[in-house]
Amino acid sequence: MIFVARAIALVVTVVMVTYMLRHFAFALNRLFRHQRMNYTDLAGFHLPSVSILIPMHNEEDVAPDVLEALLEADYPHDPERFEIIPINDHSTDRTGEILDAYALHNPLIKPLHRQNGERGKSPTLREATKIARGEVLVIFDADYVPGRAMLKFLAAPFADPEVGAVMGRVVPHNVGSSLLTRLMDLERAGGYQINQQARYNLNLLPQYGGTAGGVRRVALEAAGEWDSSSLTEDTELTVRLAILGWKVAYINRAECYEEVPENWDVRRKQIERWAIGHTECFHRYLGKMLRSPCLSWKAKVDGVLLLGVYLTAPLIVLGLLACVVLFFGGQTYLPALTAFFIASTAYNCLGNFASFFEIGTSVVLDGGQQRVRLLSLNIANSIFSTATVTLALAKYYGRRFFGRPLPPWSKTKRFRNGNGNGNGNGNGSGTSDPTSRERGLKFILARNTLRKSVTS
Amino acid sequence: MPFVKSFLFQGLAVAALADTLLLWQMPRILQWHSQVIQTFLDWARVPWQMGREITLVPGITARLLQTSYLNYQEYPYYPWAFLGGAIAVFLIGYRLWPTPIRPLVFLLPASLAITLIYLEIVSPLVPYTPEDFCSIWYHGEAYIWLLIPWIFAVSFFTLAVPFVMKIGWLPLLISYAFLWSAVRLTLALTTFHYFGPIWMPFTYFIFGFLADFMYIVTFYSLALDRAARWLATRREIWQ
Repeated sequence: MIFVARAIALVVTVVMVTYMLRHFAFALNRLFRHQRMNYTDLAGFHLPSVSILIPMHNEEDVAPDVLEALLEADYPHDPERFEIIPINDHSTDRTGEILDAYALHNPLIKPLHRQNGERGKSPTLREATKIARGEVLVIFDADYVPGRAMLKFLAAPFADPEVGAVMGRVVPHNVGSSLLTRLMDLERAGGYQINQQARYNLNLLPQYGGTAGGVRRVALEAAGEWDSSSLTEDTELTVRLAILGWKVAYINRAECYEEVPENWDVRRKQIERWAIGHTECFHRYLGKMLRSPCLSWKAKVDGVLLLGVYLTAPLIVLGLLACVVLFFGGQTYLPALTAFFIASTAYNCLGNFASFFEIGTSVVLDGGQQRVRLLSLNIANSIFSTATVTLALAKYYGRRFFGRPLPPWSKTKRFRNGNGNGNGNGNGSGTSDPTSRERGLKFILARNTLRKSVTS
Repeated sequence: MPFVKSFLFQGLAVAALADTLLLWQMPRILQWHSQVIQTFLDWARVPWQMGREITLVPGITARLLQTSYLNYQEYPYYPWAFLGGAIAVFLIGYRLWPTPIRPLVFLLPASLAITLIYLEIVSPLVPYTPEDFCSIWYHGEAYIWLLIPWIFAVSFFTLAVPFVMKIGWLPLLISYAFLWSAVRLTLALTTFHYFGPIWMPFTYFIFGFLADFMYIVTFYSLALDRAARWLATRREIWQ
């Protein structure tokens, strides 16, 4: 038993140290190595025809914001080159009416109403892709508010025929609502400013995130459309594109504002979905990815670490159990080292890949100050994620073992407009702080005004 | 640029120097550490005596402290009472604990339960005496003290702020590490003396290395906050 525990502790330590080194390498690359061309000089010069797809299910509280922001977008409002397709997916609230009202006044908005057929993001996108006319499909979740110049920045990389998808940067706008939103803000900063940018610099696998990003229609068709059986269609598409040799570009300046979960219950459900979807991709595509002739060995290693990231949670739990066995077995020196590594690396690795070093440097790069003081509280986020992901994957492997299908895709609850009390209609639970919301939207408006003045 | 590559080498040089100093002064530091614990133990009325000598790194030794722990054969209901209390605290407070803290709080009854099962089924004694526990503690802590300068070298010294602003944090953090380590070890030994060895794994896993990383990251975040404020006053153009 001691031997088995030693072996487990060793394997866990090696895996976690690998992730830790990866994070340090990313942060150092982002800070000191050559930053890869991100096509921003082409912004405004390469303007392909773009179809914006926005899946919506009961989104009456947030639908106007995203539509208004897109109508304000600094992209030629030429019907041949620009169309907005909000998709009303089985909504039972006023979403459909709102979309029709907007369409009445603006011909660029072409709502698609779905009252029959399969529900969920992937089937919705699949149906909308059929009617979309753009050579580039840009996808937004309904709670996202794109920056005014974002579309230009997202469209520019498609000038490179090898680019299959482009991902922008996501910035939370409801940061002040709760401790969780503040921690998520830190996590997002590290995940995008450092992690995604470094992976792009290093020619690894920057992730197309399924929202605030675009995909070339030809690449999508080559990769085989949106997979409705997947819970994380974004990760799946990233891997499928990579296997076929398409590049995913990451544009740090293409900023989009999102609403992050304001309470832990919503966050738990979000992590559960990501963990199961991601791990499903791991099983589906690991072999194909490793055999792909289009990927370098570095990209393959990064792909394995990317797809396997949620498996680290049960590994950490397993490692801790091994440490307990070793502790009671009188193996004092080994558990000391193992516990040391597990404590350090577990803390650094979970939470959307953002280690404390990545987060710290990203805050400084963004010009942030006081919010970095919350860094040590990320331990709560980390422990919570470890427990949640472990339980989610236990359920997932249980389902696999008994041959049961994956749980259905579920939308993350919204909090805007004080939409906080969970009433089962797919909106928020908990309470939203109107002051912080106002602050967030003011922030967005101020940014847009600033951009307008800079452009003019 | 808020970060400068050459400062990384500056940080590495400082880390090497700091470790050399630490190794040079380690016997004194350990002696001071031991004296602080002795004083704290006296305050807590925990009897102690000097124990055996161990080698931490080649050439550096530390004298351990011998204390005792509560004998559960005399107080057989104590471990059950602790476990029951921990379970009650967890269950009663479950709704009150902030959600992310719940898994951490769960570790308390879990660790007590595992230890109790061990004490009931495998052996009436845990595998370590308090002196052994001190030995494990010193081994782990000494390596962390030596690691701290390197963590700071990579993560903090690369910032384009004056050297004085950066170097000040290192002695502050290391001093805190010494003192906090002494406080935690005293608390652990006191707990074993009054409440018995059932608390040993909890103290080891939660109060040990995890606590170390908490304060290291806290210091890092505070240092970064100060540096970011300074950088903001320089009207730097961010990349």
